[in-house]
Amino acid sequence: MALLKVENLRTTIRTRNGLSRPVDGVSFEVEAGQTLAIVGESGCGKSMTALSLLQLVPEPAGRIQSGHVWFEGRDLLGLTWEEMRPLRGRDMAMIFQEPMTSLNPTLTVGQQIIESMTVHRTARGKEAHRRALESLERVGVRATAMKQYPHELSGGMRQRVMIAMALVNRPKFLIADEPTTALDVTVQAQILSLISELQKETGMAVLLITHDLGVVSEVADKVAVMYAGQIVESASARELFAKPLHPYTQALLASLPSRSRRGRDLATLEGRVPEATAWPAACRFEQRCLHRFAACALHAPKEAPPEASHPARCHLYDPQFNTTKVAAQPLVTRPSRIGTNTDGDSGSAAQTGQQGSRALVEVRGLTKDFPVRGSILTRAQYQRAVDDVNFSIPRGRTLALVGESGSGKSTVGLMILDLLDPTGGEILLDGRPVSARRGPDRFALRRQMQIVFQDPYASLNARMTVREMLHEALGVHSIGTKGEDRENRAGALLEDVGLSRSALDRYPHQFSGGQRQRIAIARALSVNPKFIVLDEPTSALDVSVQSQILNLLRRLQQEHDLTYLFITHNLGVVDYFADEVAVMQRGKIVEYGEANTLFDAPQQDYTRNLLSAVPTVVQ
Amino acid sequence: MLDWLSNLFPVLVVVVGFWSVRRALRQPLWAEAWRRLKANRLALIALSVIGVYALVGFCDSIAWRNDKNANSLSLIDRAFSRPAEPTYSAPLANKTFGEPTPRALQGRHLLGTDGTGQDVVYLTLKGCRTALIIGGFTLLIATPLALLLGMLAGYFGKRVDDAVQYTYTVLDSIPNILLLIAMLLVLGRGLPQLCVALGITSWVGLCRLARGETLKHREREYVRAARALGISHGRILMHHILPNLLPIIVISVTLGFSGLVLSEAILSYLQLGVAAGTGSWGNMIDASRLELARDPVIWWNLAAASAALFILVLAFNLFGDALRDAIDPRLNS
Ligand SMILES: Nc1ncnc2c1ncn2[C@@H]1O[C@H](COP(=O)(O)OP(=O)(O)O)[C@@H](O)[C@H]1O
Ligand code: SF4
Ligand SMILES: [Mg+2]
Repeated sequence: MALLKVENLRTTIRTRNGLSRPVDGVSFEVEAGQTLAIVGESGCGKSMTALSLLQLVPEPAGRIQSGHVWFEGRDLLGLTWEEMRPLRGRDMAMIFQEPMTSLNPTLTVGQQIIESMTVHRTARGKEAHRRALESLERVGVRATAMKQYPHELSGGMRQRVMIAMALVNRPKFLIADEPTTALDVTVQAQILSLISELQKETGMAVLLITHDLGVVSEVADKVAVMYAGQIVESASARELFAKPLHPYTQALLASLPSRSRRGRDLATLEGRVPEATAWPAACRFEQRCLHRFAACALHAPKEAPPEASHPARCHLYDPQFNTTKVAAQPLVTRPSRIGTNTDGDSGSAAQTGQQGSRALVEVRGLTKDFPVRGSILTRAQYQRAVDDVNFSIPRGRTLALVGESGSGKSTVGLMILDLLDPTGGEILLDGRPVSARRGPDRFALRRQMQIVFQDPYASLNARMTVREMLHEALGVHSIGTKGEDRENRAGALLEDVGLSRSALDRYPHQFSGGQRQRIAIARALSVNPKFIVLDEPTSALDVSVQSQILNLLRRLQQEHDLTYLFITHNLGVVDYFADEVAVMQRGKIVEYGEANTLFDAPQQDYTRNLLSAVPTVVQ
Repeated sequence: MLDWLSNLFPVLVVVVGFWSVRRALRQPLWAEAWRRLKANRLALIALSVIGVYALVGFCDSIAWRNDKNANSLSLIDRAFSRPAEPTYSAPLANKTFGEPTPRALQGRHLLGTDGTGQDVVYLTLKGCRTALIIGGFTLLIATPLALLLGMLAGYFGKRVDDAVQYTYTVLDSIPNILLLIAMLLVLGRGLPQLCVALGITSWVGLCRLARGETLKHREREYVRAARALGISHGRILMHHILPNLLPIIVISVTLGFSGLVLSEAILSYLQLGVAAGTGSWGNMIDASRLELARDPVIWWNLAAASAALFILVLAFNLFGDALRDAIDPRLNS
């Protein structure tokens, strides 16, 4: 018997725009010792499904309407809050995406872990203290962290603490909601392998929620693909990646960047998940589906019978509708694994050899020291965040700067843009040093170099309309004449990045993440730069949106002859996009070269670790 | 001539006030906040109460004189133009109070009269203007000062920050009441002096807040993106950071208002507040100090002033809290 069996779960939330149905008839099973992954874009209802299992839906607007959650033979939905309490955090634990918001900032790490034992009376006093220490050690956090506050730890450490806290009571069932999305590859790999190790030791079941298909293929036994409040396809992980049935699953897999797709546009999934207040009545994926046919807009596809081994909720697999069976075969080529010998962009090797004279951007001996917090009495100490970094980027090419978080990548980007003063070294743009320029000359430099940041929520001013932003950028550099001319330019910029002119009057919060990133790109383009620093431009986005943005960046590079410095920790993106790669570790560049060569034959252990840590879709 | 000018001012205040609110409501943040506020009955009641006080204060500010030698009389003065009674009288009584041979009054008074025979309702209404001026003008002095210094300190850091922090740490280390007493002894008693003194003691909190918030926003990527575009520091501060600070400033100013009204009452009670002749709740409370000791007790004077004060403070606090919830619903949780 399955440890957890969910039947026809429905959750609704009252909102201003009507009744929202984020979980709309979801069924699945998880066996002890097994990992089930739920994948899908944001807005599909993954997190709400997880919260519903623990009856943690937002009060009072949220309500679990119907369904059963059988856990060890008991229906959890029949239990009261009080009856549920001992289960939560003891038998069933949950870890969230953002560990900062889920840890209490006013209590030390030790206090919080011990508290999670004392409330469930699983241990107290000395025993609790010992077990807290043990669990921290188990997740690789040093014992001194017991007395530290959450904000004093790095993101990776906080996520480990969350896991230690979730696991200290040895739960039978762990729900992990995007546990590694906020972390970079190496930490991500450590956290994932930690979870699977603990799973092997204790035989707990794991429900993993993620939008990262690489992660899924690495750790999941079974996969359920969720779209618009429903599970549209489920199968064993092997089966799903080898033979994706549902057009949605196929589109997600096809949009993954990889080397074999280099130089070509990635398949994109246009449009976005419909609003949960208005799921389409027929097939919910119909508007975005490449295989839709007449019946799709009329009838909702039936849920496959529970005994099916690889059910897909789509008319293509329903003999009643589909006679031609076009999609019985996978419709897309699947990404290949990093490191296989596919022919990439062969032109770039020649390019690398003749840098120097043709380099648009050149960095020599760049160094940055940050003062480290010290007491008044001790002398100021410095931490070297960037240490003697050298590279050059030929005009029209892309250099990827990769490495774990904290390795100094963003700091390099900020110094190149003159947003942060270097401690030492030189930055040349078009052969002329950046820092030597003063006054108007330095101001003119701003036009030539721009930056696009990771988080499109933070990089747009929430209190300005898109029109105000673009007009401001044009105005500062006196581009065009005030009024109609600038208005036309602003409209053209938006169209260039794939938005309509009607976006001009709106504020950032009225756009989705991908649209905001387009606005940020339009703003950077407004001053006609030659060089753009892209600091993790797709890391905060769903894979479907990521492929759209990558396609856009590639097109803009060709049309405007742009040079990119692409900062990222996503090596799949690098393999698809970059001409050259520089690998950074603790402020130093440890490996630097042409992308294909470097990925095929990494010379440094660090690079090899980085590569092996990337979860990839294996077949 | 002078009448005309002094009447223009309150009208101007009202017009500018309405204009800013209307402009703000066109922005989605404030429109959304207003939509949530409207759904909150308590907030609407608090807002109406504040509106009534403001209306009284406004009427008391529109004044003119009938002939050259007379005092300028406001609308409120004119509405209560009956001659004064001889002395105390109880609410709605028709005879004077506490005299061996009570005299007949010229009329009945809802809340009675005070020792000089003035109608207590009238005195209480006169206090509105003083309270609003104290709150309003002090904030008009303190807010720009606090914002300017706080934002400069937060944005530029280093020396500027050191200087600003040093200034407010020193100011903060002197107990406010001592500082106020010292300043009022130097400046003398009076409404403008009081506003200046309170302004100087009350900017520190807001300055701290503005500094901290600016520090936070300075590191945000939208500010970096603006700098990468070559936008000047001044423009970044005014057009990018300030609008993002506004919600929190508005909340703290609203909540700060009631504190200032209370300070005025306390200072007037300590006979450091506005001049004795100016109608103020603090002065009324001060005057009623001795009356409470009389037998039978004269309570209406004190009760009216305290109630007026209490209701205004409560209304501002309730409204401030509701505004906070309306602007940022996340702060609730
Ligand atoms: N403003 C700052 N003050 C002090 N240390 C900083 C600052 N910015 C970055 N650092 C430090 O510099 C190092 C590199 O950071 P960053 O460039 O953001 O790395 P990455 O982009 O690779 O994630 C980190 O150790 C970080 O703590
Ligand atoms: S039912 Fe039709 S529209 Fe829906 S996913 Fe299948 S083919 Fe596409
Ligand atoms: Mg970074």
